[in-house]
Amino acid sequence: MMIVIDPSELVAASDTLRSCAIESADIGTQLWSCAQCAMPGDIQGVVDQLVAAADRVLDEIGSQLSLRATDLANRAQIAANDSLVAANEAQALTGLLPSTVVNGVFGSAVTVLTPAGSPAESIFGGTMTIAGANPDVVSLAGSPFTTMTIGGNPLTGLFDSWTLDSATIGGNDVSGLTAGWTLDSATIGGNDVSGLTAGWTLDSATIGGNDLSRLTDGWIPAMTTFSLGAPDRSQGTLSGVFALAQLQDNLNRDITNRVSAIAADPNSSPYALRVGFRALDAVAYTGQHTLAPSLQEVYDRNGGWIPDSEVRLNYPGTLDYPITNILIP
Amino acid sequence: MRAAASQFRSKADRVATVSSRLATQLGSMTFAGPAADQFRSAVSWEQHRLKVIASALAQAADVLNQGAARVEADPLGFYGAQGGAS
Repeated sequence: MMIVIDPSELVAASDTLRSCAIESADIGTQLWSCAQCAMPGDIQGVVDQLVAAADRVLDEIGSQLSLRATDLANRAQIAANDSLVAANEAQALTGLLPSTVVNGVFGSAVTVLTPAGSPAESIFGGTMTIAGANPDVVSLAGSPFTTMTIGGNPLTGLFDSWTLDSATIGGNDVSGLTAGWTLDSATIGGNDVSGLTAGWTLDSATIGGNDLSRLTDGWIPAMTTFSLGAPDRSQGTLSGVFALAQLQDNLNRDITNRVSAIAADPNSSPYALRVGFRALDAVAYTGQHTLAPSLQEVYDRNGGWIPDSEVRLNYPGTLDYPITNILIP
Repeated sequence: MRAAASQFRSKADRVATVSSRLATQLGSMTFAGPAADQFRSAVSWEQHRLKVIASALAQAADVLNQGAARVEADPLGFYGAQGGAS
């Protein structure tokens, strides 16, 4: 994808748009004085309606053009600094943006790279990678990115209201991630995810870390797929979720056993079989989240050691420890 | 009314000028990529709306001129009274 931007030209265009915005709004306001003269009532009605509609639309246009003007100005500044990144990389430097970057959008010491490691042109293309030893990402509110990878320590400044299709977040301290992200999926890794608060809207998430104790209940309902991996799974409010998953697993097994009994019974009616199989379909649908037992539990259930191949076959997820999955689709 | 019509015509011209400036700006920009496409699409839409408004204001001017002609052709004021002139 080729992206071409001339920062100085964007600034000029922004000025033009802002001027047009002001002009549009001004015309709309002045229209009312044009309609003040004496005129027949039928004409007055037509003119008043037209003036009201035109004034409203001109205000809207002025507002939209003003927004576009601001957007262009921001892009111009980003593009100007992006050139600095390219220049730095050309000199075999680290590619760090300077501390006064981009109209406050980025803070100091931020490395902005594409997944291929090239400079940050692609931040306009829907994909962005932020990595660095100390990416103090002070504000990316309203980010236009659809996919992003964030790595670093810490990520204390990430604000809410991001709209992303997916995000991969790695770092030892993501304590600053606030509620309100809108993500279709997220992968989060780190030793301390204690600052993750409720209210994220995620279709799926993979979280790894040593301390998940502060993950709050608000996360869970919004997720359709949720994988957790950590050496210590005993902490915090998620224990309730595990218990629910275990309960669901037990119910699923109970339903499956009952339907199997119906199927095995030669006296079962076709109606009973249909109901049974529909119940199995429902179990398959609702059983997307199944609690994978620990390896020891698997051995206990099977009366002792069984080979990994058999464990993997019958208890998918158990051998994925400690990365994933406690809850597996 | 003719003075008002003239003012509406003037406003229509100003709106058309704004629209023309936007068109010129869009045509001359060195700006390519997804954001540029979105920008051009959005501004083109506003430019289209400006054209519609300019046309409507010109029509209003025509209506006012026609009304003025009818009033002038009716020295007894019958048209204005019938229409509820203000």
